[in-house]
Parts: sequence; structure tokens; C-alpha cells
Amino acid sequence: MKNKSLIVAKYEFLKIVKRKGFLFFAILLPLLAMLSLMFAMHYLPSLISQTTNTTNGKIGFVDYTNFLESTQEFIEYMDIQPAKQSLINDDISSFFVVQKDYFNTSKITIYSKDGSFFGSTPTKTIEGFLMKNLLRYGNVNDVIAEKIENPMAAEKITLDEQGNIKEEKSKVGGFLLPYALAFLLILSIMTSSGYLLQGIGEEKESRTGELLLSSISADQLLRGKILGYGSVGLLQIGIWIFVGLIMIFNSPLAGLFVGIEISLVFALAILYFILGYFLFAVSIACAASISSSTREAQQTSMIFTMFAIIPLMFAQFIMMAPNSMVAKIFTYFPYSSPVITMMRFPLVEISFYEIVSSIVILIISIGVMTKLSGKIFRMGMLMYGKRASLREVVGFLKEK
Amino acid sequence: MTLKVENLTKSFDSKNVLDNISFSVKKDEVFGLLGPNGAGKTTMIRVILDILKPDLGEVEIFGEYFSEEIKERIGYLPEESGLYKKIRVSDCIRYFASLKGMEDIDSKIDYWLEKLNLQEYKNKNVQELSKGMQRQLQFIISIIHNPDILILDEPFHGLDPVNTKLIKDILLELKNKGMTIIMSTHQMDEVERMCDRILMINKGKKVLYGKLNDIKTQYGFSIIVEYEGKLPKIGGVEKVNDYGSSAELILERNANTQNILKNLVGKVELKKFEVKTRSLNEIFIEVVENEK
Repeated sequence: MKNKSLIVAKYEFLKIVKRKGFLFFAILLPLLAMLSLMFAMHYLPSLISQTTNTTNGKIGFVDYTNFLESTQEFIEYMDIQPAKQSLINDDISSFFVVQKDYFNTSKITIYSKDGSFFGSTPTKTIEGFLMKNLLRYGNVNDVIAEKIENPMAAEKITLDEQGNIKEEKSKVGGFLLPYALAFLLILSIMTSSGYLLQGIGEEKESRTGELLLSSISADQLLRGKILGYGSVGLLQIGIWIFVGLIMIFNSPLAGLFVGIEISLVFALAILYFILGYFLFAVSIACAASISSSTREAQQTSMIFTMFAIIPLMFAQFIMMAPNSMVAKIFTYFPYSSPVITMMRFPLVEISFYEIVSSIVILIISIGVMTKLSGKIFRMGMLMYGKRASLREVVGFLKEK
Repeated sequence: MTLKVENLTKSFDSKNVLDNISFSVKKDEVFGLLGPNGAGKTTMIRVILDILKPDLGEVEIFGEYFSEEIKERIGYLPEESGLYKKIRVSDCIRYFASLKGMEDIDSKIDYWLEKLNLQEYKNKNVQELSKGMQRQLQFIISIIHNPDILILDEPFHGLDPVNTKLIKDILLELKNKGMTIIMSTHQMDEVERMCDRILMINKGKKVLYGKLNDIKTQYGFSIIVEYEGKLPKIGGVEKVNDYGSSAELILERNANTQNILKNLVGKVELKKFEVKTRSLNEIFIEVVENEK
């Protein structure tokens, strides 16, 4: 006998990928993004340089306190009027005025010609110029001045419990990967669950549940749907990642990802990713099956999509205190553990016990949810035109 | 025995939907599953198909307890018109047929579309079909894998007389080829014409079960009269459904029809006097009303 879950998965997968909407969002959209990037990379620098060339990147200033010294880039004007004329003639890109009470108020007025993207006000450049002049004006020697401008070139050393130096592991790429995977997990859940909700909603609206269940068991049907829609989600994410990688490796960011090792951390992140996806998929399918339409299914399953998003709300706190009680609780809670554990990986050494416990809890949760969802899904698929009440859902769970 | 149901009980929210029901269906027979709305027919079918599990009792099909393999030997036409609307007719049939374990599907699709005059819709979307055509498409899905048992829930629902006859002819053809057919319907005339045996349930309880002819004989005879005048009180008649110029006389068991004819002659001007077994529709109504 053929694996009927695979028949369902293949059918659902092809049904979605043949749709024009999927072709647009999954393929055309990233292609457009890639074309935009290629355009930006090839034409933006020349556009910027054209803009800069007209003014030679020069900035004017009018200094009523007399502490600034002009340079090749910073041209001094004695009054506002000639500076304005130079700005209009495109001799300078902008100018600023240092008022007489600057040492009391720090007040600087910046003039520029328009607020266009290429002609935006160079605030950081002006700040740097002011700092240099202030250090010189205050007679700070060159060495100290340089240190004030660049106070540290940090080298981090981590000690273990015995005081020995631990091997440095935080390459930027390796640091970013778990975050990227956490983000991808959320994105995959959102994408796949969207398709899953739509698919089950359509199933309920077309009332095919009874016909399907006469040919295939509810568990097989549920597995097939999760596999089919999950594959659609992963295909979409895969296309985005592929396009993203092409973009990254054709940009200066490529250097960050050179020499990334497929470490245990990376393997664990993949494991959390897969387990996390299945837990969310089985929960969302269950929620969708007790609703009467796609719209209602979206509302019902909101509770589970919220579980995926909540860890992000705590992201800043988790990063500041990755070993706090809150972080640990989130690590054990099955719906948040994939995202939170992936966030904590690059920040702290998570104990073996914590990792094993959270994975075991996650696997048990998937087992329990699959069992419960199978029952709810079977009965939910037979209900047409109305949402199952809580009492009815409890009744479904009591079914043999 | 193709299907054997023993002491089947199923309840929802402590309400007994099926109450200790036993029956069997033989090979090659057309079996009628009857009952008023809410009697428990659909629940019964769902339990037979293992979509729902019984609280008590057992279902045996081909002498075995239910398994996933058995599903491939059963065809089912549900009452609900459940079809995917946005896919092609041929794709819809192919998907459901593959779930029944079929492999060489395409030639069968053409055969059945041709037989039900739907060939020209093969590559059209299901939603372009009329309701009647969609019902025919569901019928194809239920039989394309040549099942040993075919379970039909209101098979003629939504069909015009021409297509009703077409489906009926196909069913009789399938029966002659050895297919067992279980049919749940409210259309009693179709049951009378097609079914060998019936089971009638009401409020989850078995109220009639057996050969159609035996049941009809058991419920006695009635006489249809067309007349002029005033009908007298006649011995041996249990109930009179008088319509003015015609009447149906429901007879007591063992009533003598000759005596009744003698009693009527001379008292009314008789234009028609027809003795017949009672229709299944009358028996159905009587049974349901007696249960109230």
C-alpha cells in the first residue's frame, strides 16, 4: 500500500506552487529584489559620485566663535549670505553656522539645498570636524585626541570555571547564524502556517473532509498536510535564502561569512528548527480544523502564531541577560524553546542538561500534540459551517 | 457475509445516537439504510467507514475488523457535496483515486466520464460544473476503484430524472457484477425498486430489518378505491385515508378483501377497487409516527 501521507503532501504541494500568487511572492518578488540590488550596486555608486562631484563633497561653515580651522573639505565663509550663494551654485553640498553662544548652547544651524536621498545632511561628518577642532582648541595633545576619537581596540578573553582561557568562538558569521535560523524559523512558521490555514480552511469550506476520511486516516491526512504545506514554506524560504546569499556574497558583507564551521551549535540549531516547525504546524492544523472558514481559522490559530512572536518581544532582555530565570523558562517552554535557545547559543554556554531537557520536552510536546490534534482534527474535519465550542473540543478528545 | 454489525452503540454528549444495533449485509445485495432525519444513518455510515469509533459493539467487513487496507475496497458517496472547486475535473478524480490505492487511473477516468456524459468537462474546473454534474462527479469518485462495497448516502440528491435513471442503471449493472451496495435515502420508491433488504432506524434504534417483501407482507395490505357516494363503515378496515372521490383503506391483519368488496357494492358507486401491499413510504410514516 502506498504511503498516503505522501500522496496528500504531493497534492497539497503542487496545488500551491502552481498558483500564480505563489510564483509571484516566492520567485518574482526575490527576483525583483535581486534586480534592484544589482541596479543599486552598479548604478548607485556612480549616481552618488555624480552627486558628490557637483559639489566636490565640500561643506561650508560660518563660525561666529572663531575656533574652527578650514580644511580642503570644510570651506569657511565670513557670513551666511555668501555661503548661501555657494550652496545655490552647488559649490558646496551644505553649510553650517556656529552661533556666538555655541559654548553654552552647542547650537549649530545646518543649511542644505534639499532633503533628497543623495544630498542628505552629513551630520556625522560635521560632528567629527567639530570634535577635532574642539580637541585642538582645548590643547589636547595628538595622542590623547586620537584616543578620545577611537578609545578602544577590544580583545575579548573568556575564562572558564577554573580560570583557564577559553577558545574564542564568536566569529561574526557564526554569531549571526543562530539568529538567522531563529528568524528563519519564525518566517517559516508564518509562511507555512499561512498555507496550512488556507488549505484546511478551503477543505472545510469545500466539505471534502468526510470523503477524504473514508480513504485515509485522520493521522495520515494531518501528516500529509503538514508535510505538503511545510515543504511549500521551506521552498519559499529556500528561494529567499538562495537569493539572499547571492546578494550577500556579491556585497561587502561576504567577508563576515568566510570560514563558518558547521559546528555542534549549528547542528542543534537545525534540530530545534525542525522540531519547532513540527510543533507549530501540528498545533495550527488542529486549530484550523475546528474553525468553519479560512478567516476563522486564522483567528483561532493566532494563539500559536503569538507563541512564535512573543520570544522576539523579549529578545532585547534575553540578549542582556541570557542566563536569567526568564530566559531559562522560555528555553523549557516548548513553543518558545526553538527561538530562545537559538538566540542564547551565541551569547552563553548553555548547559548540556538544559539542551537535552528542552529537546526532550519539545519531542514529548510534539508527540502529545500530534495525538490530541489527530483526534480534534478528525472530528473537526467533519464539522461544517460552525466553529467547534470548547465543550465539543473536550468531547473530541474523549473520542476513542 | 460482506458486512456484519453487532450491538453497535454510539453516543455524543451522553445522547445515544445509535443504540445497540445489529445487522448484516450479504454479498451482491442492495441494502437500504432508512430512517427519518436525525435517526443516526450518517453516524452509522461513519462508524462502518471507521471515521468514527463506536462506544460499544463491533463492525466486521469481509470477515475482518477494520483496517486501512479495507478502505481501498470500499467506495463512498457522502450526502455532502464535498469537492475541490478550483481544480480540474480529471485532477480531482485522480487525487481521490490515488488515495484509494489506484495506479492506472487515466483510462478509468475517460471510461467513467464518457459513461456519465461528462467527457467534455474533463479539463474544466470543478466549479464550472452544475450541482447535478458535481454529484455525478462524486459518484465517479466513489466507484472508479471498483470497490467491493459501495456506500451511497442520498445518491439521487440533486439529480434530474434522466441522470437519476442513468445512475440507477449503473448501480444495477454493478450489482450484477457482484458489488454490494448499501444505500441510505429518503426516496422510498427508489428503495422499493432497488433494495433486496432494508434496515430502518429511528432515534438510534432498529425498528425494521429484513427482506423488503417480508416487511411489506408483515404490514398487510391496503385497498385503493375510487367511488361516488359516502363510504360506509367497513369491518376489517383499520384506517381510512379518505380523499373525497378516492380513498385508501388500510386493512387489519387477516382481513378478507372479498367481504370488503361485498360491503362496498351497492353502498357506493365503485369505479376502482385495487388490492395492494402497502408502500414502503406508508410503512415508513407509520413506523416513525408510532415511535413519537
